[in-house]
Amino acid sequence: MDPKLTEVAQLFERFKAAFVRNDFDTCSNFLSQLKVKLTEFRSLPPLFEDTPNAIRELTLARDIYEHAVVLSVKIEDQDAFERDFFQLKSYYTDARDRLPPSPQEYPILGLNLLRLLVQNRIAEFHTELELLSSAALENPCIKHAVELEQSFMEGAYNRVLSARQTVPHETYVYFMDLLAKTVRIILSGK
Amino acid sequence: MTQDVEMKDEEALPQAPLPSDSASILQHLKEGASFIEAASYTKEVRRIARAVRLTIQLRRKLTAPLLSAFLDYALLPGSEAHARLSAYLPKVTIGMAWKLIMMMPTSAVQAPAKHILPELEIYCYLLVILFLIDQKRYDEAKACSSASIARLKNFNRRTVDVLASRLYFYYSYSYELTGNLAEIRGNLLALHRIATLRHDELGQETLLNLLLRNYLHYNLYDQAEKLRSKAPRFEAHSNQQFCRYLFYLGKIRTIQLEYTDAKESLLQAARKAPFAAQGFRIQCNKWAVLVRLLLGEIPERIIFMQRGMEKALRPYFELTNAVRIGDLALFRNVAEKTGLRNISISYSRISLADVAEKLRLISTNPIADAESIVAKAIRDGAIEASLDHANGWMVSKETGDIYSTNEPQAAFNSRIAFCLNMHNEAVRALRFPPNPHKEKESAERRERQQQEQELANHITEDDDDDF
Repeated sequence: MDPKLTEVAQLFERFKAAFVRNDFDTCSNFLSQLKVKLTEFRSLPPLFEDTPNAIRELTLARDIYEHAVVLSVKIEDQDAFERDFFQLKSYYTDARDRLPPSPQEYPILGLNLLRLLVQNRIAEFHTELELLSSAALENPCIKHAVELEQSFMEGAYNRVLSARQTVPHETYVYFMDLLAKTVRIILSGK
Repeated sequence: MTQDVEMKDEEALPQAPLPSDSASILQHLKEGASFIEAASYTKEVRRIARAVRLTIQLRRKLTAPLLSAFLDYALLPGSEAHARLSAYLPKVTIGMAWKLIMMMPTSAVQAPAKHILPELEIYCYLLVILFLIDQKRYDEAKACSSASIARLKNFNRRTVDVLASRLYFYYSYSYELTGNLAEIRGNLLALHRIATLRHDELGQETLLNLLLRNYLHYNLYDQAEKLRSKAPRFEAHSNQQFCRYLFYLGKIRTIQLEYTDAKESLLQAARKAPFAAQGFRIQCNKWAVLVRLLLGEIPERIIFMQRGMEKALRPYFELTNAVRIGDLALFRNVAEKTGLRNISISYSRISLADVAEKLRLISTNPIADAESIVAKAIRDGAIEASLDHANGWMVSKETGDIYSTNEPQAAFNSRIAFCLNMHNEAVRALRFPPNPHKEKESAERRERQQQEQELANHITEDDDDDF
């Protein structure tokens, strides 16, 4: 195995250990090291070179960015979320044919939809929605965000507020709280 | 949206008597070639455009022997380009003798050019690609168009631009037909960059549209919008390309929920499209109908009755009808506001329970839902009403005399603006041939000025004499 890949994999294991301990400062620290190391792989986007280890490198990098996205939710940093998500997205779209699907894909896409909703970026919300297949729309994580948007547009705010109890994934709570705040601000503005 | 919306770039030309037999088609092709030769020497781009239009008319009548005869005529037999292009044509064995007969009169009339003009070579590529696409030999069309694009990169001549833009189109089209548009995206971007560097505006226009089409084919609205907003824009050179651009813009705007802009683009695209581009106009109308429904408008019946479109627009007509009658079960998420507006017009006071029933809200607490929906509609200005929470009523405000408001003024203004805009565009679209009288006029003026000058000199001389 390529020594560089082994090194990154080991570092990532330490990152995950810190992640489980909820030691987020250490996590962020490891993450920036990991990101620097990832730039050395030529098989990753945007180059997508077909190296012998390409599949393994792509899978590892995808895993790292998925953790980065979840980490950004936990430390409640929306800008970091956006950055990490866009880096991750090209693994979901451009490398789709080459990698086995990730179990985290739909929860993360749903999170992103929720973020766009919280930030009131409805146009982008719908642009993202267009990219999803009809099977993806049936996924509970995605469906949750889509239904929220509908209630939001119709003005059925009571449904938005009560949706917090039915979140499909624990990471969603942060954005749901923000959304509740957004709703309250809108209502008080009437 | 995978349907074929290829818009034929046929302008409504006064139809020349169409050639009936092969000999006259060949004659026409040669005429086209001579246009191109002349254009190449005089640097007149318009003549090439004319040759392209002529070709499109002949398109359905192209046959393999005919093409190979033309290749022999236009390209030096035995030259590299000739060999490459002939490889795409099926071998003609019986046709050989016939071809010889075809060649007889031509060699007497005109000797083929000694060296091959780049324009002519590209023109031959275009003919072969057209032929291959019409014969449904898409893989060969793909190979041929890729070869032509590689060849095009070597020429930097403004007279090639018109032909090049047609080639770009068929290049993308052949890849679309085989379903691998994504492959050529990088190449199209590179071509767009080259066209920008060479100030080839027609090429930029065409390539921008092809790229937008490429992105939208895969629902990549985000990328499409980013490219569109960053790409340089200038006055449209080709009406067809402009129509396509408007259509793609309308689609992007629809997804972004900017329905007012979307409607404007789509309607303009439908109006500007040439009459022959039926498929394209149907697509524009479909999208326009949806967007107008989402805006809460009811499209006029006449839209659905346009000639040749009745069948395609039938489902859209039924949808519109459902919205008009207010059958909310059919289109629940589409136009709740329209439904609410109808209710508020019909009733001066109505209980929220009834509103919930009329809007067919299905949930555990329909009254609370109805209340918040009404509240939102009031805030958005969709209806003029107020809520009575204690009694659970929605009370509609009396609609006053509309002529006492600014409403008629605004409507009038928007119509005038529309007409003025149309007029300005019509004026801008006028084209004049380079004026041959201009030179004569200025020569005359110069002469006159000279005479006046002489006269003035005479007078001063006379004055001098007086002293």
